Amino acid sequence: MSTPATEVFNELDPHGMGSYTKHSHHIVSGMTLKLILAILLAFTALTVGAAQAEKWVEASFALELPRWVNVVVAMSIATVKATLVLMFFMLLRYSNPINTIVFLFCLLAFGLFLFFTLLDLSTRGEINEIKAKQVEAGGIGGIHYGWGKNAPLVDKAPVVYWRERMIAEIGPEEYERRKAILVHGHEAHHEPTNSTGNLSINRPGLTAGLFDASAPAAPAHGHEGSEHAPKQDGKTEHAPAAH
Amino acid sequence: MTTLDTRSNPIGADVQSGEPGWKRYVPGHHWRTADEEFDACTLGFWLFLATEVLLFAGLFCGYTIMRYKHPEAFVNGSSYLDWRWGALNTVVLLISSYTMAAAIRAFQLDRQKAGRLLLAITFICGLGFLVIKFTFEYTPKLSGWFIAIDPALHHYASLVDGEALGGLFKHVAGYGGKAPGQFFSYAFSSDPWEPLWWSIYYCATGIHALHVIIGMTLIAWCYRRAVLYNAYGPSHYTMVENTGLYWHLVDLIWIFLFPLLYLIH
Repeated sequence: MSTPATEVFNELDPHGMGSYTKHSHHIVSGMTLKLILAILLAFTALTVGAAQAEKWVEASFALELPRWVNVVVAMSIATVKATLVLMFFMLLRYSNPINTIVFLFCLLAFGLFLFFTLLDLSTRGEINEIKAKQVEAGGIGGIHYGWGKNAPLVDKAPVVYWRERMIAEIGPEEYERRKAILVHGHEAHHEPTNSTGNLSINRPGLTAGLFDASAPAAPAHGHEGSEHAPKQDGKTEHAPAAH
Repeated sequence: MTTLDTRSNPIGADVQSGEPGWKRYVPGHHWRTADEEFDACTLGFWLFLATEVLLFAGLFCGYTIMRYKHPEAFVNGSSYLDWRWGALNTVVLLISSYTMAAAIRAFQLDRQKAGRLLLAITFICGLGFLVIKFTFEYTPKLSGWFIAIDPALHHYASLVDGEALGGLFKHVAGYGGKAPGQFFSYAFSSDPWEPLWWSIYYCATGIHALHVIIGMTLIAWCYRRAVLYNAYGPSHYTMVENTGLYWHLVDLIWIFLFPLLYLIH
């Protein structure tokens, strides 16, 4: 519980912050600055030389270096130069570490920009395979169904594939028997319908007749009449419901 | 006279006392110490530099996309640039960065004359950068007008079709028109994407040149304050320090722009 006698409590600096910031005024030696300048100039010569050397190699040996070589070499040298400027000219090596943290976060953001840009650019081609196919209800296959490396590659919609596979396995009669039981379980009171956009979407509140041009819908069970009133000109908006 | 008056108008009666500006400087009353003020100012400036880097990050992303999609256009476009001008400008900026750092050091050691001289050299280097950029690169490419001392001119001697300012500038028929995007009018190009390359080139170097001009303005302001009332010294040099940070950032951007624009093949 003893305090050194030399430490006097400073009311204006109760937590001793002053002692921390004392080190912020670093004076870099003149020799360091000159040395850094010399290195930077040497690296400038190096980056020019590297570009010339790439050209020379390509011309002398009649080969074409991959495109990334030019960029990677030039950017590596530039990064070294930039690091030297940041550390010694911009004094990040000596100043408050929070400044370095700010700058590194900024570079992280820069990295994210570049990463997602390159991710997009380098995978543009993959969409073509998908775009080449037709859009079909339930999908048209051409992918692996299921999980794992043994998942079969099938060229059918999943609904068709799994149905046929089950029929092949247990025979059509057993299939129908099971189906009667299973379907009764969750669709007991419905005739199965082919789902359409009209049936799937909760219609009230949507623009009237939005879907009717393409596929006139039957009113849903239970609340017919409410929002499907006949139009004033006498024509009904929808095909009559089949009951 | 209040503290605020002293700070905002240092050329007052108290200047006659002969005390240098940096000794008369009083930190803002809301800071406990001058060091705290200095740290906060520097941190604030680094936050600003981060936004500057993000500004150029957008340009670099644009560059990446366009070069990825049209690599031949970039090789072709880069071949119009002379790497020697780019390298010379790199050297000029690197030297100016050194003199800026040395100027801060001089003020930290209260070497007022050396500090002022180094600030002046930094300013002149910035000016040299702009002169090289505009005289030897922008002007001929945009308009076809070469300055008579341009070493590239002798190659086009047979195409010279005009003079201006008593022969100081010479016009080379058909050379100009290498302008960005819709302003492009160079008739001897073979790459359909060349206007795109010029768009990237002028955006990147133009915004960088704007930063050079802003940095030079800040340096001139620092110089004026140093000359008028020795504003910077061992205990107070915040403004010259932050001006230096700005100037180094300009250098930093150019370190990346130079190989990306001039050294493609």
